[in-house]
Amino acid sequence: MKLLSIEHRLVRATLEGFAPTTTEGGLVPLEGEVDYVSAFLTVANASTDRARIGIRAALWVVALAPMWMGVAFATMAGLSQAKRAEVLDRMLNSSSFLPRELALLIKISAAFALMSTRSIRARSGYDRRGGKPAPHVEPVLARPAAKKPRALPVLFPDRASNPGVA
Amino acid sequence: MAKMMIEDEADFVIIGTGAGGATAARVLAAAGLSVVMLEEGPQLRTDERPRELLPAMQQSMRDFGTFTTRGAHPFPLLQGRMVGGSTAINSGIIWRLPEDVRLDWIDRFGLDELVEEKGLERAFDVIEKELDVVETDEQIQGNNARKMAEAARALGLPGRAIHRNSRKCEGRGECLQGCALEARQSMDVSYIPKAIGDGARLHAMCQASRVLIEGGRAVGVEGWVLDRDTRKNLGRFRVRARRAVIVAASVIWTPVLLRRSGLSGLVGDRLQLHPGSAVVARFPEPITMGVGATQAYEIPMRDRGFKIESLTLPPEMLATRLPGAGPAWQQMLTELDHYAQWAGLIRMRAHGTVRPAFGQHDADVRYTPGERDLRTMREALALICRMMFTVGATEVFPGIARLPQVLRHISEVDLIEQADIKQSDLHMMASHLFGTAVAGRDSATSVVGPDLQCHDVRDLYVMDASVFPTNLGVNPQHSIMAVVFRAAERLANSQAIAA
Repeated sequence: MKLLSIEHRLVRATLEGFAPTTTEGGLVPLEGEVDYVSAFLTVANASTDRARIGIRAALWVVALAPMWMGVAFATMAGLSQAKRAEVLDRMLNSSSFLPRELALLIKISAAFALMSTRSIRARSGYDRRGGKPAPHVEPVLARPAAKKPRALPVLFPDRASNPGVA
Repeated sequence: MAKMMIEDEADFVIIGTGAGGATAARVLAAAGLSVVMLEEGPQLRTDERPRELLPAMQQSMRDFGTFTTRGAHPFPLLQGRMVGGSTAINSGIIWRLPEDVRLDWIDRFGLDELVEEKGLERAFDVIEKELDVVETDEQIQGNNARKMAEAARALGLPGRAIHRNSRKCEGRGECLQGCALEARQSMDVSYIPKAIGDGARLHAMCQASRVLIEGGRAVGVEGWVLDRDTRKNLGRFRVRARRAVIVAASVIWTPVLLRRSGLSGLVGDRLQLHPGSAVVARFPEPITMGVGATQAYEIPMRDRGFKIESLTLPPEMLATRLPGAGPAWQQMLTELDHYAQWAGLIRMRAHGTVRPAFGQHDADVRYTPGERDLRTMREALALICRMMFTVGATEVFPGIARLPQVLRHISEVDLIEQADIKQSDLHMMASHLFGTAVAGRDSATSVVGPDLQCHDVRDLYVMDASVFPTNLGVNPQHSIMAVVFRAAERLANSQAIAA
């Protein structure tokens, strides 16, 4: 599966929302530490054709959730990371099957992206033994994009917390 | 016209290298018969299998575990897809065919020769010896299992250490990625090398598309050779069978292949599942799930229709299983060493169907649990929650929609017991599947006879859990192997007599 450039940005924005880099306390990824897009693509490309369609549909439904949930007239990319997390949390806890399961489908990719990042896993405590922390792993940060990212097709974005958006 | 890449011939052609196919190959090759094994997945050496979960699942698990039932509320059907089949990704749990099931098969399906007590016991004994079956040692059980044992003792439940085919297990919890020590005697490191040592040939990345039938007799198999990375078709293969074709492609893919080969009737009917759903809990003391055997302790509750198992999760899956998103979730992610997970597996009574679907790699699987099945699942999950609180859990995550995501006191378990739980509220997955080409004496109610030969096509045998007429309610690997062992021995003996 190949992603459109807009989907690249929506994947990053949506998956990042599960574990914002702006949270205080807890397991907080650094900017550029987690490669969400490649985890998303790995999961999608290894899936059945039907599941791949479902994952892509889930991406769009979740990315557009701020609009249909009445949170803001914007995609996920137009919200602050903290607001994205709130939307995702609401979806995951929804009493309706569809939003709940579609958000979970996206959360699987986010969890795989996070925990397959060695430095994140080292901070998760999973490998802690007998109260001793797991060996520290230096985070590898992605280089910032050479070009300024194009504006996302969002209306009324939350610019203050999303400076990449023009 | 696609080019022919492989042409071969043998006495027996076996489709599938999981518990059924590998056991048939081991018996027939040892009897001096020529055998060709076909496997649609890759042949992976242990040192080739990645330790990281993402590439490991990509390489060895069918469609990354995303193959599901159809319908409004699909649930995943987990299967291995490499040489060794699901035995190469499972926890190696060994259960003999339960006696009540054996007697039922004799009584209702006329399978007395196939599951005759002494013959079956001998097959179990041989397999257990050859595959290093032992009870999981307390030293390698890990805290996830020890906590469950503590709960079983506290509540007087019939718990026990799990029997597994892994005598040399060191408790690394990496069964899914493939045991790096080759302690687990999955088919890829046991019966398949043994069969090859006895002269069998193996063609990996060969997906059978149909059994060749001439004059009412199976005479070979043809299909596609697939690219190992892309799984795209590279060319065709054809293998002629001088004596018989054995289909052991699993409960899903065996009926699909049989139907694509022209068989009909009951093929694909009577699909039965033994699916599971899991509960996660947080404990104040470290559990350190990553240390210990993947599955080490179980509580069989056959009279209630379920069993409970300890189940280690890798961090990727544990993170998915913890509820929510944002700060609360991130807080939980810093303490992944404090969580335990136990699963309830239900002996469901509902029946489903499997049919070929459009597309080479797809199948149409329909299965809807009945209300009674859902009540049993509710009972199992409620019991697990009680067990967890009994041994000190501070937070329990039942994973049931429309109920609180977190329970903090044992009294809240009543909410589960009183809930009207629907299928859509649960996250179930199934790896123990039965039926779809059931065995029986009566051709009006079964697909294969007691010798596992198709009623309608001579020299076409089915040797996997498809032939099981009912749901075992326990892990099926050992029963598949023993039943196939018996049937393959009889087949080898009949060939010797004919010769």
